[in-house]
Amino acid sequence: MICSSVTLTITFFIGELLAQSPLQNAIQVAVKRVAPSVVTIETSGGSEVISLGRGPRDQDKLLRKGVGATTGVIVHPDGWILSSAFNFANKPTSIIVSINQTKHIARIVATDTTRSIALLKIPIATPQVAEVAPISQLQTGQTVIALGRTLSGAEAPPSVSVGIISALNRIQGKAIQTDAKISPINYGGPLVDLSGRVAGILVPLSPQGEGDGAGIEWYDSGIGFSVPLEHCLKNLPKLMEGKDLKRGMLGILLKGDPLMDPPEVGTAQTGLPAQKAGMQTGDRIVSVGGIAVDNQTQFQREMSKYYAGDKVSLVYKRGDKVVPVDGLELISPSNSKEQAQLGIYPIRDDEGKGILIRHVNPKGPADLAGLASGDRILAARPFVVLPAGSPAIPALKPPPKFGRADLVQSMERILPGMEMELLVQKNGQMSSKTFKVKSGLALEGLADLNPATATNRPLQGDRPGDKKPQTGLISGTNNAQDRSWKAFLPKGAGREVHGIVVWFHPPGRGRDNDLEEIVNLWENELNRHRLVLLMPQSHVETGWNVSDASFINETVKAIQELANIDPNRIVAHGFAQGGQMAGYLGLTQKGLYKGVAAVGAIPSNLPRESPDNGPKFFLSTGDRDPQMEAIKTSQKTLRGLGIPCFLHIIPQSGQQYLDLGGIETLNRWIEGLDGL
Amino acid sequence: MILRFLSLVLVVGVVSNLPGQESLSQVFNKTYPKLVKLYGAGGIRGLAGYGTGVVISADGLVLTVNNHLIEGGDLVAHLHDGTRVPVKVLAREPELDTALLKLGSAKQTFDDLPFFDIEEAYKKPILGPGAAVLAFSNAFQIATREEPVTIMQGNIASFGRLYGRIGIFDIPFSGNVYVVDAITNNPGAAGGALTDRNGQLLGFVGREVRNELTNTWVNYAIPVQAQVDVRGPNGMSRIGILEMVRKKESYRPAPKADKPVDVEPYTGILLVSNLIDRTPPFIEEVIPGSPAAIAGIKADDLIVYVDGIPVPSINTLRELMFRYKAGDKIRLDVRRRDQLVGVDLIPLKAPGGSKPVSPLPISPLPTGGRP
Repeated sequence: MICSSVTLTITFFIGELLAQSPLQNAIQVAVKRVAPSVVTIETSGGSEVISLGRGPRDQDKLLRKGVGATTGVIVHPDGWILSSAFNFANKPTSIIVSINQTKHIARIVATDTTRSIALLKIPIATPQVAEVAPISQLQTGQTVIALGRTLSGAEAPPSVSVGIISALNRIQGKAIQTDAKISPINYGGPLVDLSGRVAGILVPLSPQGEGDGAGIEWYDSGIGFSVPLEHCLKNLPKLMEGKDLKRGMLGILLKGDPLMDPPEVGTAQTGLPAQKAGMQTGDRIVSVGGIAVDNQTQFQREMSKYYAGDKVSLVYKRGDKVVPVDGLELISPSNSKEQAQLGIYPIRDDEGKGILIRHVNPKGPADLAGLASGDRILAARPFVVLPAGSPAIPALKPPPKFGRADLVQSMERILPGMEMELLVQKNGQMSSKTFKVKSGLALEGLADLNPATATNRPLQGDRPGDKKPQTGLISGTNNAQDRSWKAFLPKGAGREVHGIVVWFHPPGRGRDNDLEEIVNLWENELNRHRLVLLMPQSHVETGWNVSDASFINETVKAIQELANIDPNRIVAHGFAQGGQMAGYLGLTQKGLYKGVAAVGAIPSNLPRESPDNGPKFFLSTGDRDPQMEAIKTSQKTLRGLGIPCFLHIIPQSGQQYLDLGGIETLNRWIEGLDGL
Repeated sequence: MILRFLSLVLVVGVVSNLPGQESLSQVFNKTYPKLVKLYGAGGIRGLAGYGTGVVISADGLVLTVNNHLIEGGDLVAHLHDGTRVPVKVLAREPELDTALLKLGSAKQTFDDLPFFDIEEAYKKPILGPGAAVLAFSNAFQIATREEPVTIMQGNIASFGRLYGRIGIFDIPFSGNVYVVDAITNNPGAAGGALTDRNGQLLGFVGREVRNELTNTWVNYAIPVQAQVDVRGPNGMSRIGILEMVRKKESYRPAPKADKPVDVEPYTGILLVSNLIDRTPPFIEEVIPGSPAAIAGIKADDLIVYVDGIPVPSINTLRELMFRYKAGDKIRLDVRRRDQLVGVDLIPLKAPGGSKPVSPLPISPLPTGGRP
């Protein structure tokens, strides 16, 4: 039986051979050989767009994620499948793998975030394991074939793109480069040689970043990447245990030009592996894992072979002394994402020099260092310990201009626990003095802030030249989108800096009288805390859609033109499905919202990695709400990502909105949002 | 055995041409004169005012894509030798996305133009993934008058339907197409020729279309053998490009039945709120005694396939459900915790008569649950 089918196949091949070139035949034979190990993956749910990281002008680059099937490769007979993490970047609810027209529920076991690789498990035996083409047998210029399942489905042969290997060891040694057309059509599929052996798993990769979609902009460009299967198999046991593989870091910043200069330590960050092992500024790394590194590119390439948790051996030179370091355990970048805080609150509308401190958290970093309200910060920089014998760093001097943004920028360079040098003019004194402040984490509870101290100016009517908003309850329309909104502006909103609370009403509660009810509940607090309440109205009875984002952004802009708005106090707030919308916008419209307050709602689509510049969260749940446990889990997840999250529990209630006391608590939380 | 065969192939694999096979430049030289550059309507709203056509007879019959280019009156072709000739539209078939043109006028006739033998091409087998192909077109209007059109080489990536998977492709053609791994579908390339390695006609380069499956551009060609089934007032009929070519100006586009008013049949399934564009179709509640309850569907089930078609979201599910009417048997695969369960659902007539419903709803199915 088997014999006859073999004969048949061969006759078929010979028939084709007569009609086509040998290369064509080799391609088709190779495809037939590997096809059984190339599987179709279908997903449902997940978000519409994924973030590609920050663009050149610091805006968020978004990509609409396709809904089609994607591809995976069987790499182990116990139901283990490798694919590209890109295929799941939109966090789908359900993943199904089709093999030979049978369907199996799959789960993502672990990902390699440095190479956009995901490992999936299905609950059946998968004997049709792909054969690996060892890296040592691959050569630049050899013909390779990229296979995918998006176009063909599970029944037909996989789709094919033919090319050559353009380079080996690309992107810090992580990838095989090919000129075959690599795109979402075949991400997750194999790059195979003419014998049908798998050289690598096709992925989007970029030398610039490691986000979920980094490198997608190069699709079909003739520059495509695959991660060597040999490398994936070596790390398969770790992935099978459910361990995500993340970039391993020593905790050092290198000095000089990445292309030209040797790997010399600029800063060894306090408390991180290199510093703990005794390394310091000026040390020059000469080898990693026994391989000599002459420049920073070589150093990065050798380091990219290791992941967080791996142990690495280094040799460095300090002057003429050669120092070996063995078994240095690398940390992952997400361990270092929490934002350092000083525990100070600036006065918002101060026009004097530097930053005028309104309040310091008792027992917080600034308080312990001897700072107090009324002090002025005139300059700041991270504190660096210099090795003995180095020339002294010049004393901290006030730059011509120094404000909140400059302090934030300096703070981004340190981790919680590291020290800042601040040049401070104490309250009422003319001279200034340098203080060393050991930074900490953001305050978990509510700061004890008096709203009246937020500004130096007493509440007055508007002066000539101030923006003159209508105050009280106003209405607006967005003609381009045929949508309408309401807003409550307290007196003085044209003159003194106000924050914005954007209210996302629950489905069906966006009528005028519903919104007036919310204003009645909030009015006192809005006046006290100098907040504008902005209330966009949803289009449909069923609530908010992701596509409402542009209308809402335009509405926020409209308010920014009407009133004097403090960009550090814009909050998305909602109840039930409105709360989910607030969470969604807070996490996707990066940099716009500094806070998200969701009541009776489980925030969905939480990021996997700590976001830069993300909002702080306030979650509220009734203790009898069936969602309470899920909301508590969200708080843990957010904290794990380094996002401060305050949880407010309403006693003896189900899924319901805040009472007056709850609204007061929320406003105290908002009052503290612009702390540093 | 296969291994031995493979090594044989690898040994010979270095030689790019078979003995007796023409070189690529020979193929190019005999093929490009069979293409014409077309100039017509367009030039606005980002639509190119130029395109490509494939000559299929010595007297100047030309096939091209049925796009905006031929909407206007003054259609002109540039032949391979630079001759400018007026062009008449003989027939158009939207269902095949193809138009049949005639070169020349009463005063200017032809009888010896180089052409592709379409009857011959029609008899050839369909090529599978991996086969080497060539594409000839005037992409980006890079060639004018006597300048030869552009040739590109690539491989067949796949052959199959792009249309038919709900809401995925915006191609006005529902039959099988070739997808190729070269970037062939550029402005002005539509209507060009896709050939095999020897210059034998395979199909016609398609439009520029964004692929909703992956949100990337898709490079496809409509095969010479293209056929589609059209639902007419008197039942289904099958139409093809060859029929159009044979009938010439007497060809009439296939009549189409009026689209029946879309009414979603009653299943008794209440889905979760359709919060975002890709809300997964989780079932919130099943109305007791309804078709869904009888089929054994339960609250919290996640619908993953409808008659084998994957449903990534509530929006896709709704589009699909409009295709069914009361009494149809629908195979649903639902995910119930960690199991896939198949059920047969037979919906009833929608209560409340035939209220017309938008075929592309933004709002969800009757939402269950929470106030």
